[in-house]
Amino acid sequence: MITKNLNEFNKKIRSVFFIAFSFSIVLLFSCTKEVKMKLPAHEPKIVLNCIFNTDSNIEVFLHKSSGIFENHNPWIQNAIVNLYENNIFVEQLNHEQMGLYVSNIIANIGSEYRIEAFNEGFNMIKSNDIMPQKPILISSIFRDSIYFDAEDKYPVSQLKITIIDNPNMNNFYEVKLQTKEIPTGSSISEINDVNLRKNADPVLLNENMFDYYPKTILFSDKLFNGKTQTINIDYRGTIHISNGIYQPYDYELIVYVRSVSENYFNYKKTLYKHLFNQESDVWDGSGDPIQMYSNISGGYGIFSAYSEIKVILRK
Amino acid sequence: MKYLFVLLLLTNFHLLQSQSISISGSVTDYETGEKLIGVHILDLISGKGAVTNSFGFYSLTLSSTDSARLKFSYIGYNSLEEDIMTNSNQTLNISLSYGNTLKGITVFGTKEEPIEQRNEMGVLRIPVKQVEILPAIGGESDILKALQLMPGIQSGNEGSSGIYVRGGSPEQNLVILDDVPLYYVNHLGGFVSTFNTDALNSVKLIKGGFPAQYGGRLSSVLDIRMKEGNMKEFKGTGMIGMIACKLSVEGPIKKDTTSYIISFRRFMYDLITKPLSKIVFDGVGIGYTFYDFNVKVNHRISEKDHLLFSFYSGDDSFSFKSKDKYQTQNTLQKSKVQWGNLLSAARWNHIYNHKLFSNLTLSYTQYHYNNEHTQTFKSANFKDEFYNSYKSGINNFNTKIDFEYFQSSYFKMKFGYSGIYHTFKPGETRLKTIGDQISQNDTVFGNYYLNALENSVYLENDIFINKRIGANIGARITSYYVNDTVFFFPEPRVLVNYLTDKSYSIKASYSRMQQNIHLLSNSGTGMPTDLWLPTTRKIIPEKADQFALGFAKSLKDNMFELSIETYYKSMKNLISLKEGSSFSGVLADWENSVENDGIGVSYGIEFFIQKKSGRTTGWIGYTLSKTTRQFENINNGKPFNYKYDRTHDISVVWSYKLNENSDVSATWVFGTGNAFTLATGSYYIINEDELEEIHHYDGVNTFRMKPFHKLDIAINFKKQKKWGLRVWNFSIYNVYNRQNPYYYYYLNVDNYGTTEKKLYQQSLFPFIPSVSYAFKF
Repeated sequence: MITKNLNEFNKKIRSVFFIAFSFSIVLLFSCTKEVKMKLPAHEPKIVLNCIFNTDSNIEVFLHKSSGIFENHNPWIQNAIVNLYENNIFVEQLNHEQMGLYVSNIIANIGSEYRIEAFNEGFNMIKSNDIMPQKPILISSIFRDSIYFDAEDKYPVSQLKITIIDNPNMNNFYEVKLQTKEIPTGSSISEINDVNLRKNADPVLLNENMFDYYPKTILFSDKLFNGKTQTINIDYRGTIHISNGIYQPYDYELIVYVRSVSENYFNYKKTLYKHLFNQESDVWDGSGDPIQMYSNISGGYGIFSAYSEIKVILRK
Repeated sequence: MKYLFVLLLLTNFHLLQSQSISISGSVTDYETGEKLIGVHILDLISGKGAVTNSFGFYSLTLSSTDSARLKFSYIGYNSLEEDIMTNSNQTLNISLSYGNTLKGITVFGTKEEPIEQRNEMGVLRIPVKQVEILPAIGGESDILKALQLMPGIQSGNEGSSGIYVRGGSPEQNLVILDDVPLYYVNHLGGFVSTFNTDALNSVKLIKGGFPAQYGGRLSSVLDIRMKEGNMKEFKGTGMIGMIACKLSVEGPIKKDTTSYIISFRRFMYDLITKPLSKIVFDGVGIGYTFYDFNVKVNHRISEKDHLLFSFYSGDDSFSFKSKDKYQTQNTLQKSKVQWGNLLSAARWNHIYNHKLFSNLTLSYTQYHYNNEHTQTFKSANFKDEFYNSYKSGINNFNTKIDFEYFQSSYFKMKFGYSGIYHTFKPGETRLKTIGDQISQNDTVFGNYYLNALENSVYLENDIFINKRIGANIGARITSYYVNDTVFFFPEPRVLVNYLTDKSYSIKASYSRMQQNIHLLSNSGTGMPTDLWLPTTRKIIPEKADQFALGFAKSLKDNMFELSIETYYKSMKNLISLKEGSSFSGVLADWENSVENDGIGVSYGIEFFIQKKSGRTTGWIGYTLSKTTRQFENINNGKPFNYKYDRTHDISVVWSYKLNENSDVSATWVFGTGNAFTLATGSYYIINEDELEEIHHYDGVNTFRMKPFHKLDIAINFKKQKKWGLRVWNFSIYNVYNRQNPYYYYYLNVDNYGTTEKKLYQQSLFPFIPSVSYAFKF
């Protein structure tokens, strides 16, 4: 059940190249220096960030985009932000602090929401999205430390979730995992995001996201539309290492299974690729830049929805 | 189209000529018996001439009443003159000895056919012997890196051996080794090409004015011929360099009848890196190596029949192995990634008569990529094993027959057929689990093959209409069958050469090229994830039309060669991975993962002056060019600079023979910086309760890196020993330590409590000296 990440292979190949060259009389060392480059002026636009769910009030953050070398201090505090549900005006959102506008409502499943924001000196921006149905999760189990990854020097654990896909429509999913250590004695319980590992689950492989080190698992029902499907998710195990000795500890696995809108899905996939390609290394050079997905007309950012089920599993 | 064929038929009027005799034969190296390609044969009385073909064969037609004085000239060889009577057809086999002599010093001399008289343009030839003395990293001479020094050919990233010909990309180059296409031509992440110069006989690159005999790629043809083996005596060469070690042996199996050559080259560092990595990576053994293995057997059945068997195998291999213990469990992890080419070919040359020559080729070629991983967990109570593999590749079975008909000195015709049966393996994944604690499983997915049949016929006429006007007119017709769909397309080719009374020529050409196979490749430094894919109904063939106009002149008895060429190339149906798409061994729905409506435009002018003989040889090349790409869903549908668009590209190559035992050479290159994309704006988004900075890009490849330039030098010292010849090579790469940009990146740096964003440049190769030791016996 283990497929090695090809990128990791490539990095190792390049590591070997590096070692090989370093053995030469000539040391292959890389040279870095700061350069000055005149860039064209950036035209600022309103950036709207709003990912809403069925568990909390809709919140919208507004700020301005800026030139790449400018210091960011562009919260928008005096904008007019209007919210619509199924094309009916709901309310004008109140500004609370630092560009945060809060609604009095919680989104309803199946409803379409539209947001419009206006600030002097900028064009009006708007966007809309539909709150998807909650996912149907029929089982979730996990096995701790199913194998030991000798490269990573960590055990790998696995979660299996089984969902029933809603037929006759395109559905998009996200799974987020966190661990919560069961405290022993006077230790303090911490919640941590898990480190996801590539595996050979065909649904996940088909999404081709592991190379970008995603924080969450994203997949669509493209390969199992309308069927029951089990998804295997591998993640780095939870151990303490003390004096080189591995010490596993007891923990709870918190599983968030989300049904997400298509906008959310595209946004998240692009986000992971965008962040990955911002980074450069001496072997890959700079990755081809990925323009960030946005469904904000006239501006940047995202307005999208998900509905979620939360499950807590004990080791 | 019908007009073209009428024209082709009309140009064959020379077939009606008669009252002439033909002198034919082969030209070989006196010492080795190796066939010499491109030898110029000139009748000093009538002024008629011929050139040996890829198998060393020539045919010269003269008037039956003439006597003739034939002069045989070839790059680096002593010319030979032979008086003959021309009262009947006759066979004249000639051997030339290597080394023009100038005050006792061996130099790269040439008396080949003057450039203005050749019915060709955009053709580059570099003698392999000259490549061997040029500066090279680690002393590893590289034919592709030498070609990068020619006008119209750009390198990609620094150090890479990829070639970008007139705005084309590497997969648009048809690379053929002994008449068989090769798919993967790099090792070591692109730093070394797969061609071991010890095994090579000749190298020719065509970048425009393509003859009809070649097809299947858009941008260039790189025709490489392996040596055939010494027919006279056993010989060997070898080298110990800082990148690889190599050894070649050759000799007669039966003197003057059958010969062989075997060459092997290997990257040796895995012998060091495996133990070293165990220290560095805490017990994990990592090794990388590459090798090239060339074999050729050459058998003369008779004066008229000749058999040649070629074999090449070259792989890159990365292996990983680690053992570990976790609690009571032992873990063994093994991985191996291997990719490369396998090629085998059998060729039969037959001389029907003094005018007709044929070459039949049956070959098999393969590019493969295998990635296997096994993990075993064992304890006192159980043993579990997980295995997975990914395999992809392309196999070709080729049948090809080429005829050359030498009607007269004014007319030569080539025609032939080529059939290629492609089998594409887009990617097979196998997952297997065996064990005591886990469920047994053996699943394979993606194990489908795509088969395609490509048939081509061509006719090419090399004509001298009179003493001033020559032409190469031809056409290639190809049918391509895949998934019950047939694609059918003609590719006309025309080249006209007008020789003025001032002894220079004006040349013009038009070529239509078509490419039925597509390459998807992740960006990066030589990522071994090339995936070759076929034309389908959705991904239609790529096309290119190239117009070229040139001026050519030889000076000082052909000592200097001057050419100026301008070209315009348009390309259609180019493919590219969709923005943000990638593949790493899995591409379930590849047709939907690519943009397939790409348009490419490239135009430019190239200046080239070369000194080909004398103690000092070398050339200066300059290219002024522009290359763009356009896709509907990239850069908002607007054209953008191709990544390797290089406005100015200058190469200076200089070699100097110090004395009989030493030579020095230097190369200097200058190029406009690569086009690249840089963020101009930024904003924030919230990702799982964390703020992330997003970069905004105003367009694709709108910025330019700083210009690239560097100087390399090399010096070779030879000494004759009792057992043979030894050569020490000392090279310096990037003599003045220019920090050429490899890429740019932003970095947030802390500046007394505030974060400040800065732009940095990363460079790769600084001043690098190297040494190698070569020997010949």
